Amino acid sequence: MTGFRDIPVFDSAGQRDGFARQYDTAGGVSLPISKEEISGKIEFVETESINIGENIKIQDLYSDPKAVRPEISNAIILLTEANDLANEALSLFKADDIFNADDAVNRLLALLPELFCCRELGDGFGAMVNALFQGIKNLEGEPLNEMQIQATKLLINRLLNEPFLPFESALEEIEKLEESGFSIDAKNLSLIEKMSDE
Amino acid sequence: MSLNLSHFSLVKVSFEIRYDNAYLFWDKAGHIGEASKSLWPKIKIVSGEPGKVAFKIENKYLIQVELGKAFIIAYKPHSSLKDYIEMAENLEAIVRKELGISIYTRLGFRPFYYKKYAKSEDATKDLLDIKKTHYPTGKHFNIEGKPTKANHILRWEADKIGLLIQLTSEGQKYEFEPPMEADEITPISIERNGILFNIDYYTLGSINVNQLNVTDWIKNAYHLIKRDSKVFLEK
Repeated sequence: MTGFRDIPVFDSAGQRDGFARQYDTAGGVSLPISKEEISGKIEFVETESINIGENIKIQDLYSDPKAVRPEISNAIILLTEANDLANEALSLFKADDIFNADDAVNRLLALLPELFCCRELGDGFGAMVNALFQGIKNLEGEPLNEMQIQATKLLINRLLNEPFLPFESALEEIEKLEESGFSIDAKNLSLIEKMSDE
Repeated sequence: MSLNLSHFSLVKVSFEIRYDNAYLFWDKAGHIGEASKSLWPKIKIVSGEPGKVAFKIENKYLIQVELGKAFIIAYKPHSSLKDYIEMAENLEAIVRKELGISIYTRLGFRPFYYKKYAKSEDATKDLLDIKKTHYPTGKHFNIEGKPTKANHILRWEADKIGLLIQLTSEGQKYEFEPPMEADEITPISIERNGILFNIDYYTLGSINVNQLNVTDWIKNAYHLIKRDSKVFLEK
């Protein structure tokens, strides 16, 4: 029975750049091929594939809200919305629309207390949400600059892709927030407690 | 006659993680054993080879860790899978930590269901009937044959999640002859006939370890299998 195997594809610099599939016939040898050598569509009879290509999205892993903890389904919804807002803020900032970029950031900020309620997902999750909330609040109404919006976007994106990351990994992300100019020390700790209780 | 999951009993369940060859396995197999023993004191080794170690717990669980994968199987688990899921979560944590894994290449969850029949021919007949399988009658290949076993396999895939669904009619015999000196033990001969239904629910694509919560992932998979199996079982 013929099957196929995924083989590495190399770019012109010799770096691995995705995979290609090749018939795995008896006695045959599979060789890596560059993307330029692939032409047309190759038909395969499938046996079993080892696919270590593109990352699965979190929504695919926990697709039914009835089956998983509500924190997971809520976090996915909120982080997806926050991710969209961060992208929107960055696009608006780059288009010199500072006012609306700031508005998008404020709408993102409003999601963070509810996101903090999902902190049961892990210590890393709670730490990152808290750090971002404190960082934005500590700006006391000043709009974020491009580097800060970018850092926000990267943090939200990381949370969306890795909600169960450990505390040690979260510290690395929080450090990046500080490097972009955020001050994350809790000046008004009672504020976030009050907002997460609402 | 249509079937649904309520006609079947859950007889086995398996959870598997696959990863790129983790060569730390050769250094850490002992650590994995010790970590497992601290969690499950009644653990016993089944095999210890250069590429894999296998343990069993009370003839109910089989744990196996290899260079490129690890799995835990429970035999006759409780339908809630409460204890099993906890063990699967602990095993994944041990393997991830000891082998330094950051990416999984595949996750798989596979429950096995069994419906008993008195005769394997009855199981085969029901299976062929459900699947509306055409088979010939009369003399062919110079024999008056009849279907004795049937096997239906379907792979059902989307972009990132897939299922391998199998419906098999089967007959099994278990025989045990005790040593002649052990005259207190009577020989055993058991015959089992039935339909085995199993669904392998798996991922396509890589999974960062920080994306995985074993408990929630298994619960999600199990819920979907229980909810939608009927589409493959009904006439």
